[in-house]
Amino acid sequence: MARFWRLSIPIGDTTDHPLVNPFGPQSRSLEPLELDPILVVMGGSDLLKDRAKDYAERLQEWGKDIKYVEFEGQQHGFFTINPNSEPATKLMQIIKTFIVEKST
Amino acid sequence: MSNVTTGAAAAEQPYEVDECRGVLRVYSDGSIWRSSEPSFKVPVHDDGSVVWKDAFFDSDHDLHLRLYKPASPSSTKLPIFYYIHGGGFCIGSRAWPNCQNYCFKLALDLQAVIISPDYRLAPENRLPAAIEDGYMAVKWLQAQAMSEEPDTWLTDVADFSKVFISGDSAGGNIAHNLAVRLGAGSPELAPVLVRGYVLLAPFFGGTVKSKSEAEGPKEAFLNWELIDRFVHTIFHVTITSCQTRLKV
Repeated sequence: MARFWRLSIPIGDTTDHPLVNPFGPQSRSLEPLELDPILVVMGGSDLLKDRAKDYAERLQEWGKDIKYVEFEGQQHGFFTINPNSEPATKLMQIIKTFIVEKST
Repeated sequence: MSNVTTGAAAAEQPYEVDECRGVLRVYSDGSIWRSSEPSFKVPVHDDGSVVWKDAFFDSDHDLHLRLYKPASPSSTKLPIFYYIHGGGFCIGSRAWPNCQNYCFKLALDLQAVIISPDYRLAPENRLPAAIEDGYMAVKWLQAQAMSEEPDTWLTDVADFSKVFISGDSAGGNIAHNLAVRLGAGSPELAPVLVRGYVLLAPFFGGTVKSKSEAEGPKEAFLNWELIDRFVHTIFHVTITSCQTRLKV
């Protein structure tokens, strides 16, 4: 993970770059922005889980329309690795519902 | 004699400093090698139930996007669903089999037009290049919606007022940054109307490690897209040795 950041962040910057860390010291506050609705999906065993969960919770606290869905025991990329698995099928249904709800 | 490498000559030889899943190698002199092959050659499940084609969206940077739609659409007003691939901002392509297969499934199961854009990759193009390209990929849709000579392959089935932007991992980061930029109702994209965003395991970071980053199994993130356990082992060893070298 550190390797990907090392290669992609502008030289001299850190993972607190505003495009990388939405809540970094130099990042502008998301509170006044109308960036929702957002559906956040995470595998429960994904190393990135806590960061995404924190993202969703903070935006929810600011009253934004954020839905957070966690798939217990699933790892990063579970839906593309096994697109026909039970959790991937469930995820597809959740996305479909989100589209229908937000289209009206 | 020419076969003998002296210490000085050896020091001048570029050595590998970074390696990403066998498809990207970065050397000490800054040179970069990329494979023309995807990192995981899973079969593409193209059974004809979904039709697809490519389109240019940024000729300055030679970037394409791939369009998918159900061969027998359930409606002439399908929502449009962006799927921005992952790969740590360093690897991946709209044309990789894993990306294609998921787009086939999305098009069929969601009954939607899927737009899967490429974007410039690091380290050749560091951030914000990928975010800018994501933005250009949605501006492309606006140009399609406003075109006087529309591409009927798209306009016959797509509802430009029902657009969703999703992204996987690094693509999820791009989707978030597009949400920040476009805002509610995406006024600068009219008549295209973005209704919502789907962040699939978004790739965010920060200098203060989260609990799962600090305590999670180190291979959890590396497992991503890995199907072959044998390949996993090789990569884990390579990365470990790579990190060791960088610490020196």
